[in-house]
Amino acid sequence: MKLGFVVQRYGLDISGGAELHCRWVAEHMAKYAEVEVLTTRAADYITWKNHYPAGPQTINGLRVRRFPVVRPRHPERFGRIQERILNFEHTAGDELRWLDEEGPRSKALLGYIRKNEADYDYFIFFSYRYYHSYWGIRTVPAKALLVPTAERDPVINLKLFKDLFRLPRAFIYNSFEERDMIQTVSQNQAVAGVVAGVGTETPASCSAARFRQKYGLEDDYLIYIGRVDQNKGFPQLFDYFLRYKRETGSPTKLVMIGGTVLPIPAHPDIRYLGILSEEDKFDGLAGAALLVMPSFYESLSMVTLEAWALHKPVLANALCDVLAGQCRRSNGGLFYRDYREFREALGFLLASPELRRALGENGGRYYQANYTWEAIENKYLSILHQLEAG
Amino acid sequence: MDNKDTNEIRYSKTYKIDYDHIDVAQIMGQVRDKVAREPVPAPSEAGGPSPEFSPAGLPPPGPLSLKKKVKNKLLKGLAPFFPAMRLISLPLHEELRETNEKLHQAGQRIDELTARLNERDITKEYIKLLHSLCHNLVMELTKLRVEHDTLKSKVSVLEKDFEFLGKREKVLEQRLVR
Repeated sequence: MKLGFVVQRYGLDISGGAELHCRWVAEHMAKYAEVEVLTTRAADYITWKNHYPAGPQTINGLRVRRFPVVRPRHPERFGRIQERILNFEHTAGDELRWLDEEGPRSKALLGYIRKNEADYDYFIFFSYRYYHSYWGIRTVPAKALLVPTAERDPVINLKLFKDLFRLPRAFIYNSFEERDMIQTVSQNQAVAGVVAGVGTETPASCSAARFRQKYGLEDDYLIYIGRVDQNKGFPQLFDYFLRYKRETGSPTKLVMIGGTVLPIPAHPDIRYLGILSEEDKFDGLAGAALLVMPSFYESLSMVTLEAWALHKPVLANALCDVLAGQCRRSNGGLFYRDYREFREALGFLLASPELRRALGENGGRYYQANYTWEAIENKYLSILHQLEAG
Repeated sequence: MDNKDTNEIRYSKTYKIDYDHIDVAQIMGQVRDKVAREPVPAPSEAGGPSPEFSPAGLPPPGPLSLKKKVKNKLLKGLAPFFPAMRLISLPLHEELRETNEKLHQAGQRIDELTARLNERDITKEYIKLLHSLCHNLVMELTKLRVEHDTLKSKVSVLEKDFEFLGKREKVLEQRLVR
């Protein structure tokens, strides 16, 4: 079986969610099929400027074919068009212009897919909202599988995607909430689909003591791992956490790992450590009382799965339906809708080691059953076999 | 017993949980019930009073001291002269009373405003939702209106076609009859 993974960007230095997701799945599926990656020469997701050299290359043992982007994106023009289509009455033509502007426009990539369709058994497209997926799926609908990586983003309601979601042979969703959202938008229940997500790997051993010693942490701490920005639930988390401390006098600290685009409050109990190595990240997670996930928009949240892999409970924002759904299904975390629920849930979690242990163990079991690479590979294989069979 | 243990006991009394079969939905139900039972804190309480200034920090009432005993005896002895003393200090007393009255009214208004602020926090969220609902409704109505106009014009075109075909049918019938 030969599979073509089609994605907007690809490279070892690209850490974007969907791109990394695609790379990991492609590398794991190479055990079962001949895998090729079809992508653009872009590295920057704002402009899609050609960056990587043209032509095939090999990355981690996979053949990667790169195609040039015809025209880089003009962010201001794109912003204006998006503003117009999201807020005003518009035509199908306007939506197609938005898609052109969003890019990455690579006619050579589409031409390659059209010419070489017969050489591949299936094309697995990543990220529904980009040019390559929309036109690529239209080019080879009978061989197309889509991994939508959709969030609750207003563009999902655009008319052009309603039709797109009925075209591929099958969907590989990240979560049940993502599947429900896409089915509600497009009524595509007839299209085959499986909820898979992405696997994670955790180091064989982590040392909480090493982390505590390295960063001078003594008290209990909550940990947040990821980008610190508005969509991720900041500065709301700062506000909730500081109010909680003021009201309860708790000595708990908030430790944050990852990049930031927001100013961090200067408070001795808020420790921003910046971007750390994977070893430090897992050490930090191992030493934390719990992982806090304040994000409003998540299509899966890999860091939540990593916390469960280490048997750590999670406190998540209930306004993100994916996070709340994952906590309910796994019985591995609590969630909050407002400050009063945050205070109560956090207070309970910090006060009860037994609750933390029980939630962490449930999370661990949920991770083992659904998000080890073996489980993910089996889900991909099952949908491919289902298509082969019928 | 330290603060951690006290908290643990408090939470274990509040929540009924089977730790061998954790059900997050059920725990969240209990959390929400508990939060709903608690009064909404006034903003002034949000910061919380310092423990040293709280009523719990006051010393317990003990036996009367000598100073208090003398004070009580003096108050009893001077009681018959109080009306005359009030009359002498009336202007000052009146000013104090008015100021007190005004302060009391200001206090009441602050309480009222605090309560309204609390309500506003809740209603603000509803207003945001309503605003977005209104926006979506306007969008949908606009789309419907455009669709309605398009359909109307299509119907009028079809009517004209129908009329034309009717006339043509009559002409053809007449020719056939001849």
